[in-house]
Amino acid sequence: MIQESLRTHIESVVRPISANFARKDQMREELLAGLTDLYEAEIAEGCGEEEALRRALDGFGDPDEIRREMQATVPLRERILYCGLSCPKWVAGGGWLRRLGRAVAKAHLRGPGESVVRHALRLTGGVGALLVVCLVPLLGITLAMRFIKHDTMHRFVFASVVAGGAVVASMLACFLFVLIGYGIQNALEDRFWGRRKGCCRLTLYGLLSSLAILVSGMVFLGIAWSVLTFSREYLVALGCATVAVPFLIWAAIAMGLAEFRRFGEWGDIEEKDEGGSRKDE
Amino acid sequence: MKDITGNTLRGHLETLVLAILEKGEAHGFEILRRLKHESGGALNLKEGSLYPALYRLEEMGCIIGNWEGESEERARGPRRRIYALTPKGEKDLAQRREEWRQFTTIIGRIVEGRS
Repeated sequence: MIQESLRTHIESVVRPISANFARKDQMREELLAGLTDLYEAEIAEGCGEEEALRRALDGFGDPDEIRREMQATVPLRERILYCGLSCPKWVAGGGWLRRLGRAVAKAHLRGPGESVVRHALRLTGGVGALLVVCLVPLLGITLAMRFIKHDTMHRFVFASVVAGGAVVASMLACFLFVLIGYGIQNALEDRFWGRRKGCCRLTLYGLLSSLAILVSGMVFLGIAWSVLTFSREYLVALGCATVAVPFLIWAAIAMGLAEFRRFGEWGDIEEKDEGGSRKDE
Repeated sequence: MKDITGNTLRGHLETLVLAILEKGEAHGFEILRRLKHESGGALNLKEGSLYPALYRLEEMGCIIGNWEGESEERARGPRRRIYALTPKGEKDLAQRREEWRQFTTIIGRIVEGRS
């Protein structure tokens, strides 16, 4: 309850700021840590919970003034780029989207106390399941073609072997990439590299997702080829798309990870704010 | 002694933060606590006003912030950012000290009617 009040206060400061999601996440966490310290100091002085909360919020300062000063620390190009994108209602307020975001965050982030190997295995399982879900319908089509076009069975067997191989290869790649990612992260723990750690992690996530999507794209192409006979131009276009899509997905994931994390941790606050406003009105 | 609040400190907060961090790295709340301690309780800053100053100094390259590790005391709560002075910050602090001495000498002479 107290923690929620502290979060709500911080969110009222940070949410309207025009800045990129990663910067706002940093602001949220740091300000919340500071406000929590202030609250704990009041508790240590013998205040009751409510009184400590009131004094902590008072000691933290006027939210409008802090927001103005924080906004001024954001580079101008970022302020312009993210102007008006500080809190899209359809993002923060949508129930199903928030639940999806929370589920995605819970699925891909490392849990408290979770070992590296367990996290890697969990992500590997997720990648495998995702690929299976995507590939099974395609294999179904291949099998259907066997009956519709009175095709020979060998195309379906070929497609199944390629698809199975791709799933295993992607899962193995995922497991190794996550372990390598953690290894690099640990190697970059010193102060100079600390600031670049986040970029490295996102790049590794990007490489991992690119690889998985590239492999699955090639498998899709292989299966498609085994089912239908495409013209050479169409195959080239599909090949280009197979290469281009991973990069687009990478960008989406790199931006989305930060946002999904925000969903998981801060998504509920919007409703409480609105509820509070309605009550106030 | 009358409390010195944020508005009076405007423009000097960065210098104060650099001076505090010269004595050792610290997170936001610790910086505030040290400021209060060293001023004998006279510096009554709002904690929220400290972070913009920290971000400005970090942007200038005078300090560097790192998230506290998982092994730290409050692993399950929100992480703090620990700030430390950089070599550029040390040079900047030396320059600010010199400017401050000039400022107090000149302004003091006028305000106290010693000229």
